[in-house]
Amino acid sequence: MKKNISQEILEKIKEKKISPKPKWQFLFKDYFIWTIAGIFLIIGSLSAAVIIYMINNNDWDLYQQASNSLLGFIFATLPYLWIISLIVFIFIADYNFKQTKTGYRYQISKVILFSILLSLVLGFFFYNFGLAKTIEHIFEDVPFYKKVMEPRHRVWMQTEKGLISGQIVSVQNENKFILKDLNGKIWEISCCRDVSFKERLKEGMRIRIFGQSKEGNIFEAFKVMPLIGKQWMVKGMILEGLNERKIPRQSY
Amino acid sequence: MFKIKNSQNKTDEELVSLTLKNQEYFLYLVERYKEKLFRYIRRISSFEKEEVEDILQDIFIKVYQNLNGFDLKLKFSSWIYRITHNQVISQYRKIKNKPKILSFDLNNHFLENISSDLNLNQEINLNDLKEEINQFLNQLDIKYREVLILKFMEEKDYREISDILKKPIGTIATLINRAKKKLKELIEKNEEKY
Repeated sequence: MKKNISQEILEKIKEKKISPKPKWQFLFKDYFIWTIAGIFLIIGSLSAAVIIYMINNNDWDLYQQASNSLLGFIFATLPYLWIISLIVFIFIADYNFKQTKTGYRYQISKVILFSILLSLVLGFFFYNFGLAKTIEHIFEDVPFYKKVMEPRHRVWMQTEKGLISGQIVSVQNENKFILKDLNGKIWEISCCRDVSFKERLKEGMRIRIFGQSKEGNIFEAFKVMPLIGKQWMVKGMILEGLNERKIPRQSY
Repeated sequence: MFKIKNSQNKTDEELVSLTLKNQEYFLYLVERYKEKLFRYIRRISSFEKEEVEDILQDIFIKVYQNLNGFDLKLKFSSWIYRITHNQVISQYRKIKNKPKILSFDLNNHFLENISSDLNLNQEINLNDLKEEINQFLNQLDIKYREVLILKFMEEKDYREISDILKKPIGTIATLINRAKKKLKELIEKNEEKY
């Protein structure tokens, strides 16, 4: 090796006027990577919140009507889109974490496990604040989202089993409204003497109904719920004809 | 020269702080590492002496430019070895068709170190196998060769190797174990021939 290499290097530094990059550039890069990791972790947690919301609002009490087995019901109604988005966001967050100054010191499997747990904890937190429901409602009218969620809603398209879902076309009178189901078929739904419930029924609303198919396109509703969520049922929106042994009748 | 004498007792980290105030101090860091890094580059690459000197220049300039990014949680030596490792890799990417036969200066210290670690049959004398071991090291995948070089030639501990190669300690331990196992297999296979 050349003896004067040290001197050569120093001369080159002076000659080319090379100087150390300012500290703020390194700090900025660090904070930027951490911020990106944090943002994607939070977005992942929001996905986790929606997953929790959807699982919690699945019709576990009606699964026997909707599917042949519990496992079949679970697979048919899992919120795949949100699960995929959770995985993607966790992956991006973890990738960014690995790019931090000391991120490489941690085993990727441990990092992934930790971020899943953190996403779930934050997900529960967001869910309790009602964010999951808001997010789901925002996406509800997005055409792509509708299409992706269709298999889950199709569980509610088994009229022979007394399950139907779709969009309200018009509310005709106190006891009747018109529904367009997911296949585009028009149904005349007979219901409902519960005044507070009727006030909630509006054109364009997406709902699912548990009841009984009658002649032609007439369907008798026992229970009406939003397409996702059970809040109406929780509040006692029980319709006439409901099997009283299964769900206790309540009124305001 | 007065400064050099004074600076010999300073730690690398102190020299980094001093260099940021006065670039002349960088000379002492270069002096301290030029030979170690020269040897290291020769061990992990097949570059000619002149090429290594050029790479070394680039490395020290990169180190100087990035001094403010040096993380005090690391040892300076780990940081400078990491930059060296990355520079050699990027140089390899630039020149894809380079022959990759390396020649290692297998001193007795290295042979003793690795011999006791490999738990070899006592009849095997590694001193007689210098040439073969050179070949065996060349046969190993670069990821195995490099951890063996860092552990047994550069005498770095697991934490330092982890910081140089930017891999978790557990992964480094696995790589070293696999590398030793592969090297041992090659040595024993060679012994069976005779």
